[in-house]
Amino acid sequence: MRETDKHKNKIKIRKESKPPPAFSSTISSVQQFHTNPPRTILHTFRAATYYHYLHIYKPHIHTSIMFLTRSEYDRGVSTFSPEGRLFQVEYSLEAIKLGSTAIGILTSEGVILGVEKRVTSPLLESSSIEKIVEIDSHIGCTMSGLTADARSMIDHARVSCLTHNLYYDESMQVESLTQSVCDLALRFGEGASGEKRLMSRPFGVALLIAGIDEKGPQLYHAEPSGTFYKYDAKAIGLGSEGAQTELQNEYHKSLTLKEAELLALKILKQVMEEKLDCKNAQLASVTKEGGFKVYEDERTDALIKELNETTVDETAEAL
Amino acid sequence: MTTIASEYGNENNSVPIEHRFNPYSDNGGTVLGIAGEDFAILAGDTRIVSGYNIDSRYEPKVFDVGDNIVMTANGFAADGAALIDRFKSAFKWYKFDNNNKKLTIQSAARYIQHLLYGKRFFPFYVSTLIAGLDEEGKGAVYSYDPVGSYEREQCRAGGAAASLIMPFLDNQVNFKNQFEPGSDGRVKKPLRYLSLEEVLALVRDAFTSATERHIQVGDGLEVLIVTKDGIKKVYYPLKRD
Amino acid sequence: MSDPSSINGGCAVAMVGKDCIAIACDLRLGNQSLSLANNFEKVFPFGDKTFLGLTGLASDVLTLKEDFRLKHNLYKLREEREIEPETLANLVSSSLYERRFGPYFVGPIVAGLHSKTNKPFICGFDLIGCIDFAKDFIVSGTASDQLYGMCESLYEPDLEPEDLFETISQALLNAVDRDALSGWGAVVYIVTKDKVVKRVLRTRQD
Repeated sequence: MRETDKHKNKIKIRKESKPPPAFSSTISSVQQFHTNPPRTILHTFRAATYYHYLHIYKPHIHTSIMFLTRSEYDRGVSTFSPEGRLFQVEYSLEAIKLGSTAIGILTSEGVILGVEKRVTSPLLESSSIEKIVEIDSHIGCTMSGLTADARSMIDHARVSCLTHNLYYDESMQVESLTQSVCDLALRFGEGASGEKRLMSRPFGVALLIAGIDEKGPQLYHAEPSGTFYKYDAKAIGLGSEGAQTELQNEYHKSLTLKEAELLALKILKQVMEEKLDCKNAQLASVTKEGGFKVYEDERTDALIKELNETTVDETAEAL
Repeated sequence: MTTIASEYGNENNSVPIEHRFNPYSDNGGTVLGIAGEDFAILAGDTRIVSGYNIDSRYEPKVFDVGDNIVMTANGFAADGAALIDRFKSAFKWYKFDNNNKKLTIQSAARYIQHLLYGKRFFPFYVSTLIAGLDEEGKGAVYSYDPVGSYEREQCRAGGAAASLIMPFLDNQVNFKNQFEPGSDGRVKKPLRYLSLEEVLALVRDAFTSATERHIQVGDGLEVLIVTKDGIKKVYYPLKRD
Repeated sequence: MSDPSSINGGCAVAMVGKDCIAIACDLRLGNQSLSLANNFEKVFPFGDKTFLGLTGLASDVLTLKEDFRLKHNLYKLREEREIEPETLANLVSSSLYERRFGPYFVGPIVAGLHSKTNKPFICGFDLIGCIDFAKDFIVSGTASDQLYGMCESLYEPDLEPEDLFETISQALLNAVDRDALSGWGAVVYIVTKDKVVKRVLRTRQD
């Protein structure tokens, strides 16, 4: 329902906005450009992108908007638009919203990572979908977006941790690791001190990096734009808006690790269409004692069972 | 006027003279580190020599490199200075990259291994020592060979008179070859931490002895003492002959 | 390491105490890094209270030991008395200098008490016989650096025989432990006016 409204809204604004001006190299036309910013569409487009389920997603809507909004500044990945924007970077953020939902929750005992695995065919071996990975024994991450892009980020992250450990005989800090991954995210352009351009485009994937160091458990969100933020709880991917709202409602500082496990599953359950099981959902934790651990299927199933029972109880109570 | 033929003319040409640049020299000096229970010291004499010439009677070679770590690199003075400069700059980068985290002595130790091994095929001609406190607050001394092999120890002497001082340290710090009286040499004298006063007395004895017998050691002794309260510097004169 | 004086390894040390002297050596005989024997004594008596220590090339040590034994016996026959430490020192010096341009690769040391006055005497030599008269201690051999460091810091003048034994033993033991070519046992002689005590020390066996 809400979806339909939004589509209407989007179309309406698109009609209102002026078409992008033809680009020319004359000064006058540039001035004209400034006075007529054509970017309203993109704003709308970003704000309106919220799909609960995969089957609602209509790729052709995007393509049509893309065509309309394409401009000179879409060609070079590292060319600013006159309004000071890097469109390719902004689009890369959109790619994340096509990915499956991933959640990270911080507690005082450790961090929980949860992710939806899209098993698109009954013939697909679900264990081959790897969305939670170890970076070092004390750091793990989950991803959303073009997961193939994450391979090189994770390789880089692993090398960073290993190199740090080799050079300093200590574990790398979670923030330093996140910074190091984000440094890589900007390598689609040449570096200021002569670094080679490594990639043709920005990454299309975001990471939730969970880890523990002498500062305690931490959760970071790293974007393709190269920025990162520290979170208490964060959701990314397709169902992130709903999931984030839910996290905001449910999160509190005194959450136990156990409660965080169930909360992660509960939210995944809400944003996923399929029935939750160990094949389409995966959990991992980072704790002081155990470091980074991906949960065994049996453990995930047991937690899902526990979640379902409590939910049934609550429903029963409500009735 | 006639030139008289001499034998020397063709002698000069018959043996080609080899010229070769030698990138290293030895600037003498000796250093010493001892770890106590809650302190560590790094001591070095202040003489710089080149050949039989004394270039300086006071050129400090033990440095505070930050985060309660002291460092020295004894041997070829230029390499020693370069190594310490590189470490200081790496130290700053560590702070930038790791949110101002305190560099532990064991991390510093590992990093110096890489500084040294990085020049495996054109080594820094130095014996390196660092001293500080470990994560439990206990004194720590790490020692290196020129290409980065390293070890944590209670004590270590390095440099010109290392061979004179080291057995003395074995005997007086680690009580080597000392046994309980009456045990017929079967019960070792139990190890114990030495007090700062005892350690300073040993250091001064070691250096006066080394000064007595080694021409490259003398003039002055500078000791850097690391405790949880910071680094203190003390200077004792040595014989200047 | 084709240096003849450090092929076989080994060291010796002598010290002066109060009316006594001590002379000690390790027992190792090796061929470079290969240890061959742990009973190779390097200190030899010449009379009751005079001792000669010889370190360096083992064949030269043995040759010189026999050479000096011969010369000592000839001396006794001619003089009908024991040789004094000073005299032995001069004998060693002149014998070594005879081979000025084809030297024995040794580092001799002499220690003893005068037969009549019991005055302590020690001295050392280089390989061509230059005498080093010292009042306190003399070191020689592959662990000489280490011995210098030990002696210089442990030695004090006028030690009683028991204390002198402890001092020279600690000096030798800790020195040889920092020298790969020395060790494998040690022997210490403590010489007082009416008694010579020989002690064999237990050491690390590596």
